[in-house]
Amino acid sequence: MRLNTRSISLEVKPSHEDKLVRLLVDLRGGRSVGREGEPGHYPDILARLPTCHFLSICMVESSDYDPLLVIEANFDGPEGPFWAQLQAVLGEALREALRCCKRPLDDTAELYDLVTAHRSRRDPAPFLERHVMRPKAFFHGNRGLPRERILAEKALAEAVEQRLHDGGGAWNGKSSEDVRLALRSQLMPRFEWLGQKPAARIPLGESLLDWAKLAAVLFLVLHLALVPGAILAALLGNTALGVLLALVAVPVWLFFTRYRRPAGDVGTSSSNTLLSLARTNAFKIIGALAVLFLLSWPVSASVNLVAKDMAWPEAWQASARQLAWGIVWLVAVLVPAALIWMRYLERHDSSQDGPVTDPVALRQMREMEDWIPQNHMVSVVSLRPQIPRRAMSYIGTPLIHLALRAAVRDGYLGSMRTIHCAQWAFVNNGSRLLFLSNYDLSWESYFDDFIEKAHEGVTAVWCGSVGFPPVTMIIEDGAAHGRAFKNWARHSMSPTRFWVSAYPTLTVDQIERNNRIANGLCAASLPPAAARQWADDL
Amino acid sequence: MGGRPVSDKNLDGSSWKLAKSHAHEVQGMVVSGFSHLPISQTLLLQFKWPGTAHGGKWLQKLEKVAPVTPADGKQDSSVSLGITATGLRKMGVGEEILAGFSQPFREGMFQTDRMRRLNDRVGKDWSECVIKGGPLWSANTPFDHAGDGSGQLANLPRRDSIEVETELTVHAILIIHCKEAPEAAAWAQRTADVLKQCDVDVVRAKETTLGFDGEGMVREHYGFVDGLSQPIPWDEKAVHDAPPEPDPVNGIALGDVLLGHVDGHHEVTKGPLVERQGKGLADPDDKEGLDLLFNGTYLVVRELRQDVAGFWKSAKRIARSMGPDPKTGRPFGEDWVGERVIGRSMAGDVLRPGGVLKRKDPAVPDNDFLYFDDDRAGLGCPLGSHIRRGNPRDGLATKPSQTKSLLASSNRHRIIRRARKFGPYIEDRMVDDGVERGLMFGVINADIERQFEFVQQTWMMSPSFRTLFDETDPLLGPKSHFSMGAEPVRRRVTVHNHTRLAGGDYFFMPSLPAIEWLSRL
Amino acid sequence: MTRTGAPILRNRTGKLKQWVMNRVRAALPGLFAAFRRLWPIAKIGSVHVVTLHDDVREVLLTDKAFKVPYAKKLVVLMEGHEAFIGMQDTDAYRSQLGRLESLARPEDMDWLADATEQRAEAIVAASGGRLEVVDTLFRTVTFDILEDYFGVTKPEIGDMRIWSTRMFEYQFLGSDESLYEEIEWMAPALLRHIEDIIEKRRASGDFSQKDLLGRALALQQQGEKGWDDLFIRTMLSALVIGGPPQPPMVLPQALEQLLRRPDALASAQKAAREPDEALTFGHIFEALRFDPISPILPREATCDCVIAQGTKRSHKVAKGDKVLAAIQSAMSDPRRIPSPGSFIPTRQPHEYLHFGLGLHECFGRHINRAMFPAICAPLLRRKNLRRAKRPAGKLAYEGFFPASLTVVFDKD
Ligand code: HEM
Repeated sequence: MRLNTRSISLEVKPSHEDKLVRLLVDLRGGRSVGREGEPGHYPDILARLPTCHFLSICMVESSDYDPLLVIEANFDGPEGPFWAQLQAVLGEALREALRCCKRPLDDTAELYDLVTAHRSRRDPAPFLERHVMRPKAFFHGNRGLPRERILAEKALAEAVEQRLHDGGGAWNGKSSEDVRLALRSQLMPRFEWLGQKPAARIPLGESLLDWAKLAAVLFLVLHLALVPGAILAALLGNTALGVLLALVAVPVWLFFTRYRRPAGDVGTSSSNTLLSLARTNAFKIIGALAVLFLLSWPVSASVNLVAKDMAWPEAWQASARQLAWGIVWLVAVLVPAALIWMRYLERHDSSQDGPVTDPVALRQMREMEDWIPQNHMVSVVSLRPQIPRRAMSYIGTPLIHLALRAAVRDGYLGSMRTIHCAQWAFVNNGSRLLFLSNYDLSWESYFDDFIEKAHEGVTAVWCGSVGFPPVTMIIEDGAAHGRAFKNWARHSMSPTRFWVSAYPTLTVDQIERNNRIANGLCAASLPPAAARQWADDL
Repeated sequence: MGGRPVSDKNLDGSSWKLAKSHAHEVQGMVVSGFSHLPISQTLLLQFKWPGTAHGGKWLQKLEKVAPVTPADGKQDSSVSLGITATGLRKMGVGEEILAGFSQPFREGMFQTDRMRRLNDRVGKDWSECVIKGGPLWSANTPFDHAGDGSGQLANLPRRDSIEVETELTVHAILIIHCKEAPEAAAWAQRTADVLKQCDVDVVRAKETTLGFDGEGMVREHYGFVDGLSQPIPWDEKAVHDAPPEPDPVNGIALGDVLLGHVDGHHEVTKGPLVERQGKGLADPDDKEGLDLLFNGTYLVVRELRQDVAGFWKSAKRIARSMGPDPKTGRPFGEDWVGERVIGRSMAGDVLRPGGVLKRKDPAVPDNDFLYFDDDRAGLGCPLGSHIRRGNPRDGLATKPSQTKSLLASSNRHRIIRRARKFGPYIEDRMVDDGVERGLMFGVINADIERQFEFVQQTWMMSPSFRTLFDETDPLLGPKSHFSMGAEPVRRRVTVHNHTRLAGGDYFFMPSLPAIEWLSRL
Repeated sequence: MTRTGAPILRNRTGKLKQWVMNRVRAALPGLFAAFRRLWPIAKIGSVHVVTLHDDVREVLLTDKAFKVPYAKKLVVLMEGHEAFIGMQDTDAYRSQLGRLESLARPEDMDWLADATEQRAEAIVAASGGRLEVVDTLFRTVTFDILEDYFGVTKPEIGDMRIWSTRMFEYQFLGSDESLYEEIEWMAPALLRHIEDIIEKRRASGDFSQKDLLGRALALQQQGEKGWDDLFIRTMLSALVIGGPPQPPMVLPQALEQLLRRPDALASAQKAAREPDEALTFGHIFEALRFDPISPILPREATCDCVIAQGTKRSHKVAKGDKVLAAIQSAMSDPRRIPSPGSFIPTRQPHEYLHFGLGLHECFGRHINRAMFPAICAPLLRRKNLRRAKRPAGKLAYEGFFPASLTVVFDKD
């Protein structure tokens, strides 16, 4: 079952802000029965939302927009049943929350009226569903593990722990495989599923699809990027084209080398990452361009065939030449030119060095944090207005998503693995970027991880946001400015009002550990080395 | 002393020195553990004058009896000074100036959310890691209500208590380092008398010592060699004779221990700029203005009481409960257990599978080791041992490709430890003599949240450190499990708490120019 | 075989008609799936068939616009008096229901379950490994236990099971001439019988709190308002007609569904042996999702109104039109029910509409909740439970009513 990550954002009537906050706070206060203050313990909700991993309901405040009601849900399997379950548990509270929202101006207005009417009994779920957003990018730390499996493997790991404890020194002198086999047979009656082969976390089909999607989008984008060079090649002869290229490329590159370095004291130790990334991956890039050439060939040959009325052999030849020039122009001119444009913007960006976080909001955020090993955050930032920036955000974010989806299979972003479920979505008609995350350990350590282990990616995602610390070449500096980035991020956040986690005591790493233990126990036999490695996790 | 204690290479930080231009401004304690001054007096001060004005006078008096010593060379005695946020306020530092200090410092160690993070108090109860009845002393910083007029905060369902007050209020800490005990005691007395004249009381005084053993090693009360591992600050300009690159294992940015220099996150902390001759903020362009934080740092102090007999008796119980060592057939000793708790042998060498790490220098245990290649699974040095939690080095990596970035990232959370003992060594570690003893644990760091608090919260006290579960630091944490790597499966035992917090807070360690400025308030 | 020998169900449906009815019943899931997809709110003449989960909920929850059509016939059965089953949401309705609800107590459910299980166990144990369940087990136990609980003893002449089953059929299912003829004498007979019981009970001075009648009479004795004989009589009669005929309908259907699914049967048996009462119930309830008490609940529009307003399928209904809320379809609607084709005994309560929803949600739902697992558990615990050889081992119907199903199992 696939883990779905969704959110809903609705504008709140300013007059109803306090009422909504009270409603959400009551929702939490009236339910949490865990450790004092533990926001993650909601037995009734967890039992009645059997597929839910994380659920949050917040009100996002900011000084230049009316507040937003944001509902975040991460759940296994199809959506319809999930919203029905949510309605069954929180229905009347949801209706009341909707009453605090503005009446939409689109074609859901009628439904809004019916759901929020005085003493209405109309189900709120269909209205909510009309406003559900698919995130532009999302990330799952324990990909391919449904909630049921996470909980079952937790129970198993605990049972293993108990057995080992009861066993005392009885294991001395045994081999890891002996221990494993003994545990397996002892636990089999309670965990019958140990007899089955564990389901693949990411089925082959899904993997292939991930790569196919990424390849398709990349092909589309790059293929379009070849067009300018190809058109020039169709118009001019090789010599003329060569001269033109030299005339354009040389100044562009000169300009680029001057411009690419961080300006002023913006630089951090991470400078030159983009270029060195390009350099270390040169073979991959060349390979990709070769594939691009091969794939584009038939396309442009057919275009030549139809548009220019050529014969096949002629068309193949002509298009090969055009494509080759297209690639040369892309690499020699278009990419550096685009980067210069980006650099131009970056050098003129305003970064907010002293963002003010509302002290009352900050106190409330802190108050909700660090009761359990997991935490939650919601942040909304405005997007910078320039066209290439917006284009980067709108196209880049999904592209980053596709790339992460295809390439990251083990939950590691860079070398950090503390994110259970995170998502990015555009709200307020695409003018703001919403970020929701359910992560491990403290907010400080989460952001230190971002800064220390994944700042390039984080910078790429957020560099188009108003006030973000100064960036160089899309991925450099930016989030590497530790405290500036943290201050900026804090100021974009709102207190989490209501938040439920289905496994509040488990970190991403521990879930993976439990999974390794379980998978190991499922095997009928393991070679000694594998068994020893398996035993390391106990 | 012909045979100088070998371990003081690190203690003294003689592996790094500040460049001249900075050395005379920075307090000596930042760069040195004063191994040549093993005896010290730690005085906790409370300002008793009424109101919050003219609070600089005591510093002028102090200058006469116990001037704070800079880091520009070895001296026969040394004085270090730290002031709490409530202390600064009492001295008359304006709120607009205080706003330029870091938040944890302004809020104090016993702010309610902070106590939860440090695991000192969760909800309404003190944790087991705090002495009965709660800590004795702190800065008693009032709770910051964030000027909430909306009532939003007041309406929250509250599950903790926000006002915590300790019996003693501490506004400043003064540490006098000497060679001999009588000298230190007399000097402390003299200082106290002088301070008394300007309404400053010494509310708590402790003789604190390094205490070398016969081999020139510093041993803390449980008997372990301490002070072996320290970070080595590096800065191209501000460090004297800086090597071209930071130390590959222990190198950190100077800005992580000294404010106003480039830190691990590539930033330079700017403090409030004050008028050299006045009391208020200076024009931001004033070339003569003084950056109050520049060349200062933050000092975290935690007075930790140690129940030595409790620790060793419990170690013995654990050793017995494990049965004989399958390799030797002999029972495990309590030393064996204690060594796993720390992660180093009694001699100070880090544990490795089947023994300890071979020394490069036969006189001193190595400290430039890593974990990933040689002891990834913790078969030697347990994954949750005190030194692995305190500084995981590259050991949090799960794949070879991560080791570099994880070492770098764990070095962003390093702290300089300046701990000294109080109370006498115990006669027989198995017999409780009822005497109070422990560690006056001090940490020098520039970003309290990213360094001390991170270490305490995310590494030491986290029940989810790495893939461990339900266990915290076996030396500092509450009663919990403790796993020790072994074949075929790890041994997991229950450890109890024997180290308890008796007081503490966050202090600002001003630069000498800043002290001078403060003295004119 | 019945105790009196007289058949309880009417044998009027011709072979062919019964065959067609059974086929239709079997085809319903597919039909509903097609409707949901192609024609979610179907209008056939003045009848509207509502098949989507959301819309079925909306119809049932909007009781003001869509009223229950039971009042007319009910008045016949009650000799002109109103009973809550057929009423609109008025003060009178709330008062009736409130009084009735005050009689049944949560703590009753425990002993109801115990008594039911004992009775069922005795029957199963006596069967010797071969048992016709519809009548011998389900109907017998239900009537015996509920008569006790209501305080309505068996009549000396006549058979309560026939009376109430017949009246139930008239009220909710058919209305042919011969049925009406029977009703004409049965309805007064039942009322007289209950009046008689009330009279005798009062005379005996036995106001024990064990049964509903005793509790009602005690309240009457204390001078509480609204507890006159007429009210007590009408309520008891409504309970007797509306209640006991239903378990012998649904439980055989549930068992039939389990017998068709060996895995589900095995896990139901495991739950019964555990004994995990809640999980046993979960199996029965889930089995019923595939063949519920009725595929639809009928309603009648009280005004011109709109179903699914504000959506693309917004659908107008004229005053007086019939609206059929297809609960069977709603309980298999994949848009709201996770994996509707799978047998999942641990589903969420809101996924089931067996007891209806909203104003007229089944009064006996708590009683059923207690009794269903208790009746079935003794049988489910038997080893090697399976169908008898056909035809006896196949659930047979008389019209809408399950008539017989024989199972066999190992004698320990
Ligand atoms: C009574 C309390 C304590 C005792 C007895 C104690 C003892 C020790 C010992 C024996 C070592 C090994 C020697 C060395 O590597 O220098 C050590 C290392 C260390 N301790 Fe503690 N300690 C105490 C409290 C703390 C506290 C409160 C913290 C921080 C929150 C802390 C953080 C560290 C760190 C970071 C290391 C260095 C690990 C490394 O760099 O490899 N200790 N401690």
